[in-house]
Amino acid sequence: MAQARVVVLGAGVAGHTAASFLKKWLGAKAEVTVVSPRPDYNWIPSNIWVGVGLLQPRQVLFPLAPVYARHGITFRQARALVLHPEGAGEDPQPFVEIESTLPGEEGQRSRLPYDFLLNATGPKLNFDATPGLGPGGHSYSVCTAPHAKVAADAFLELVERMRRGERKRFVVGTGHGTCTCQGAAFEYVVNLEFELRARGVRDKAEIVYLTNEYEVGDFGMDAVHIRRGGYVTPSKVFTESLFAERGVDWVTRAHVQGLEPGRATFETLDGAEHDIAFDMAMLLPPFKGVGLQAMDRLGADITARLFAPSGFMKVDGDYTPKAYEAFRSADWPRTYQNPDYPNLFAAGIAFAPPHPISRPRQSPKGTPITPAPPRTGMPSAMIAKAVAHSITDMIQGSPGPTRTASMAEMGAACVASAGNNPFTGTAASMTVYPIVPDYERYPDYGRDLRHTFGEIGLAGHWIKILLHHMFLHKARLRPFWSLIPE
Amino acid sequence: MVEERLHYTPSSVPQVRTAFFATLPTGPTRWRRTSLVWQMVRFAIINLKMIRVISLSHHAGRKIRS
Repeated sequence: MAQARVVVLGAGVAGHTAASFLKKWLGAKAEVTVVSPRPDYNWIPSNIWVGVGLLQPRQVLFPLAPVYARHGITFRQARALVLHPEGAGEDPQPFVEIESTLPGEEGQRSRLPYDFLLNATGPKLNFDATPGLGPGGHSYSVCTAPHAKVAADAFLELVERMRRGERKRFVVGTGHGTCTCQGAAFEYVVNLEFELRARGVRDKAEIVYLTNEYEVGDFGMDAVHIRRGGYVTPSKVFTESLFAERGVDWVTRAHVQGLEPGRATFETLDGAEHDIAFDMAMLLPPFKGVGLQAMDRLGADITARLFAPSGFMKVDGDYTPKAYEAFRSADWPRTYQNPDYPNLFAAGIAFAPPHPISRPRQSPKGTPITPAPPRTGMPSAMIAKAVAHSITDMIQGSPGPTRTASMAEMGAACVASAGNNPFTGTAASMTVYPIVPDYERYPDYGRDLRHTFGEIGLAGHWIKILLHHMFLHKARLRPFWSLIPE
Repeated sequence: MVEERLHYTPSSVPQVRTAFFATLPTGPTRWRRTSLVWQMVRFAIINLKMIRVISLSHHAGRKIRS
């Protein structure tokens, strides 16, 4: 039997996990090719510590090519441009057009034929959505290791100036009304506060958390409720407590309209416009799809058929527009197979969520101020593994996908660092089950409170350190990597 | 309001909230968060809780029944 050709677009958590398991399970039965525009794997959760100068980028990055070479996975350093799921002209062989980003070969285009394709490209960091946002503008980011390093350099320079007696204001949060990944902004603000204390300049700093969440602790998941001290308590209470204890102010329901040097303007859900001055701002960008296009065999553009307007790929979810009250957990994808092309899948951030998890809201001016649903980390890897399993089984004769990984049926375990020190550091440990609330099974809060919990303490920090080393070991595909859960 | 505590460029952020209405931990709660013995116990308990949720989630990825 000829080798099946499996192409994985993207080498982040989802793409790397899927490619690793596909090769492990299929061996010589398939040629697994990973296409990624960057040469390195980035363990993104630890970028937070790069962003405050505690880690160097090399401690969260490693080159992919040698790892893939050792495990028989083909690596193409390139970006995907156009999908041709029907082939072209008379040739029905599906392929993807790619453009090399390898130094010396930049811009060279080629065709990569496939029997199965997994789109795990992750997001485009859409700094352009907000004028002046991002490292090319007037704020910083920790979304990539190089971004985090630039943020760290700015942070450490301000620390030096505070040591000389200057007062500084830090603004941390989300740079647009539709951002996701509030967890990363939360981690950065509390780590920044911890480091200012550790460096003896906390009294010279004002810290403001600026977020598109309706209440802090929403995290794009419509908040989390946990049983504690005889009460069912929303995550807002715990998050506000953490901020209040650390002297961090917060602004919620905010859509950042634009930044200029040292100043951000924003609109709040009540339609009012404000501005805030800062000496350093770390504001996350909104995400959108990477801009993949699609064509049918006659060369007609079918991008709108395959992708949602956000640029993320449509899979087996229910994308019918509906009101918040009509949202159902069953709307969420289960197999991540494209409905039109059975050999096409999407995983991680690259799949289009059917709707937000948090209640959609907009200002009187019509500005949407609603966190987008998170689909990073553990759910991303679990989805990728389920898709890898389905593709493996389909190559071996199954007529369709064999595994499901709905975010409405899986939970997530998450550890958010709140200070990096083996004796005085802390982290918030959380589990949520399920990620997407299911109000039919759990009418009160949409989640099973027996498996949804959270607490802050040093133990969480130890777990965070353990996860950093464990997941880098797994990503490097070192001995027993596959035994480490997603 | 935040402007009142600033010593430099004033800005208009009326909805920056004071922490007055937030829940704050008491001394013993703060002490327990970094107590080595207590946190070793919590380390074990948190790991067990996480393993339980991971295990439930892996069951969600079970085979589709034909």
